[in-house]
Amino acid sequence: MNATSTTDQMIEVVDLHKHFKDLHVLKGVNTSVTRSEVVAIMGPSGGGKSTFLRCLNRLEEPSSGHIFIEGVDIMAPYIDINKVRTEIGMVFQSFNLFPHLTALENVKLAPMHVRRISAQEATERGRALLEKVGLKDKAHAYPEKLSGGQQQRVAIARALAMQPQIMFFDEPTSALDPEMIGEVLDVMRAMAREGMTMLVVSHEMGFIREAADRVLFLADGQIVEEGTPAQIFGDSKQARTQDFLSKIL
Amino acid sequence: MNPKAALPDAAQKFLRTHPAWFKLVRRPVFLAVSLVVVVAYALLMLPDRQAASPAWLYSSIGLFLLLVLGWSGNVLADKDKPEILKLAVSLALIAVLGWLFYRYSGAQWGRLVEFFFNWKKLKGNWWILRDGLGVTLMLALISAAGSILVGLAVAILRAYQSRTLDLFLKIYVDVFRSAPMIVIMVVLFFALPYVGISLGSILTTVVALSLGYGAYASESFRAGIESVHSGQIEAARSLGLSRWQTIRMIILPQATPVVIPPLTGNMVSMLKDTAVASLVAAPELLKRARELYTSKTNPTALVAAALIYLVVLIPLVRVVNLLEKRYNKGSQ
Amino acid sequence: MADSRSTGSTPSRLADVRARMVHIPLIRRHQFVFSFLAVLVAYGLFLLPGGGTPGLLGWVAVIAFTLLCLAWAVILLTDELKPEFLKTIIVFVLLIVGGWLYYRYSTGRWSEMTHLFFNLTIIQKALPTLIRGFWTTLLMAASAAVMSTILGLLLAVFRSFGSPVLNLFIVAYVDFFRSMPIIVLMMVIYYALPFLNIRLSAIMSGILALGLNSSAYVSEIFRAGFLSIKKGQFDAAHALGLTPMQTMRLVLLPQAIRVVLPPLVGNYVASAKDTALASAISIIELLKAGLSQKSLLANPSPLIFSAVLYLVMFVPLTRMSGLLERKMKAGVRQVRL
Repeated sequence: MNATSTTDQMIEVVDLHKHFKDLHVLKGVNTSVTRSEVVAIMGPSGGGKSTFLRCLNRLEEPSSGHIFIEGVDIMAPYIDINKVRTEIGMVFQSFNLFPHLTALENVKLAPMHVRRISAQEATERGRALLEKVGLKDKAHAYPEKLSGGQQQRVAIARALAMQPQIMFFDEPTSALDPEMIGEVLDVMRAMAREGMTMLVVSHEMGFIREAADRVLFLADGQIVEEGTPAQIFGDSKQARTQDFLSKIL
Repeated sequence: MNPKAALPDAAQKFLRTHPAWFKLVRRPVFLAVSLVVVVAYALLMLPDRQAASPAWLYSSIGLFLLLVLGWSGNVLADKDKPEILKLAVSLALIAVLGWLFYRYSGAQWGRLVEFFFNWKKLKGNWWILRDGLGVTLMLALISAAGSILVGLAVAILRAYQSRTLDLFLKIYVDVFRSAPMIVIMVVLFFALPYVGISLGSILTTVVALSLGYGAYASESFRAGIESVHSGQIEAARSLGLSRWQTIRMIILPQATPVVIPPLTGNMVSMLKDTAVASLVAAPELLKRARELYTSKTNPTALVAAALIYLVVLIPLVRVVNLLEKRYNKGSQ
Repeated sequence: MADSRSTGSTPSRLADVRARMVHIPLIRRHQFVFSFLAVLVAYGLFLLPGGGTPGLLGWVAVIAFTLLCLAWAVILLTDELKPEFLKTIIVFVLLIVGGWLYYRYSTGRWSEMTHLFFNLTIIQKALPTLIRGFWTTLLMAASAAVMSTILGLLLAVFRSFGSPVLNLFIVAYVDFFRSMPIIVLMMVIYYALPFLNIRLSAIMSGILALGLNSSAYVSEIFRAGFLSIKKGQFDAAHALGLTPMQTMRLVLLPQAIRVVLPPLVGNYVASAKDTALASAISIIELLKAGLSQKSLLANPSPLIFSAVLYLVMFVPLTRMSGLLERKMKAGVRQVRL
């Protein structure tokens, strides 16, 4: 285990398996993600994409295998998983904003109560982040008053407020009306340009082609193929990959 | 869309074969004639109270009731009739029902004041009823707190998802929701001494009410906890919030408005059930009223107690109703 | 200080996670758990006072023992890594130890337990009365249900006419009978009314009280049912020229019944449970039968038997009515979509 506090190997996954009762959803996944890398995960539904992502911060409990976040084995006994989760920000398909709090309060909540920073500092940070995602004037709006795209951008700001090292996106635009997808993807592109390490489960080909460093094609619980976007989209080797791409491109 | 298609088949068939029938019952002539019939029936066919055999008595009264209700319902349901007429018919209906009751209940109304509202008999003894009311309210308050504690504890423990624990708690909830409160109180009071536990009547009441209504409360709390979408809990956990922080800052604020209407309804029912404690010798309002009834051989005390219950409970029931309506509107 | 770059410039906080990982908390270690267990066993065998009611010091020892056992169990139960079956065993062991402590230190007549609570000979003697009580309960529940349904339906129908005079009386009726405790109502009818020369038998008083109380709820249930019919149905019926009376009978009622059935069933079940209150006015229904036989035969078995009978009747009924309510909610959601 690496004793230094910064490491370039952000995520390492070794032989990850996940069973849901009789269903063998993940069948031995191996991969790694380095700092500032943007990795896109694609594949048919039911192939295990979301499950894979959620195993990495133990929202789902892996059945077997090893997962190292910055060299820390998160499957170790008695590990404080909450601390690990502070380093990983997660954005969900259904936004999951807290409806009883305003946008700013949503963003401030975790830094104040988990990182224990002062209310003033949290407010400053929150406002800055909301401005960054283009929602400066919506700070005091409740989620029900915001459009889908706006809610998702608040969710991204909320995750960023914890200053994580890694960001996970679980189909962030799949629940949005088409005209709002662009604003969310813009925010994500900006984050990729700034060097955030990102894992994105998505079908947005345009974004993936532009911003992803690597694409993982996950089907039937395994990584069928991986490579750069150019390699996967233009020149895929596996029949399975070609089959899937032909259906969506 | 063809409106006719919205009706069930029977209605459509009826309308096809009887096109003008429905207008008949609304015509003033028909109403006048039927009114005459009803009045004639009242004057000629209704028996005296003492005269007839019970079967004849009940059936003729029943038939008369049907006629009266049918006639007035017919008028009241007609949206074309003027409001004045409907007002008159309503008043007449109430009057007729009152007259029927007056004539056939055999009540000696003259004795009403002497036996039901005989304040003289209660003179100097109002403090007894007042004490009883105090005990009733105290029992209700303590048991309300108890049931909330029990319900909350059970709901949170069940949320911890240990399967054995959940099974035991489910059995507790099933048993105490299904058993009548009076049975719970009686068993606790009369059977427990045989296994060495001798709770006094007050303690028995509090324990019985807390356990019994705690079961209902736990179901309300569970519904409240489950009304918070799991996605929010995932978001909270993925931000690094601990289990307890998630419960405190995300679940409880959102579960509370869901939980308040059923919980307040619970507490009002509990207030009513304190009267049952009179059977296990708790000195609450009903029991003291019965003591006065026995000692004075005059039921004024009982009537007074009933009135006190009404005065306390009617506003509370109304408030609970309002809360339920407000919550239902909010959730839609 | 606004940190716009999200990576690299803030050092990872996993350093202390790493540092803590080799350290298993003291209370979780096997050695600790087993040695604690050994201490508890020794305590239980040697340091606890003998049977019967202990003196003050004895009580302290017993309570300390209980607390220590609970602490040990809680330590194990809150450990996420311990397997589920171990936790199940611990719960049972806790119950057994609790039972043993209770048995040892209470003044219950334990040797007589079966004889007292599950005495078959006594129950056999009491059986005829108990069975009669059971049928009385059934009779009261059914009669009250019929009476309340008819009355409640009439009230709801007349309420829907919208006449302010009638509404006043009906609302007063509903408020009155929802707020009055049933047991108080029964007593007033049975004990107070005879003074006005209205003499009803005990059973009639009971049924009347139950029926009146239940009818208030039934009328509200039917009213909600009427209101649940969409306005379009009224319009269609009026367009066809149906009188409101016919609309009520042929269009409203069949649909309202579907909406109304689950809460109605729940109300009937609650009413049936309330028949037990009739024991207060000396009706020999199931509870009173159990109580009277208990006094007569000087043995609580008949009472336990009737309590068990109540559970046997009402646990399935309550569950079924709960299932009905859930099915109705599911149905409504589908209709909305």
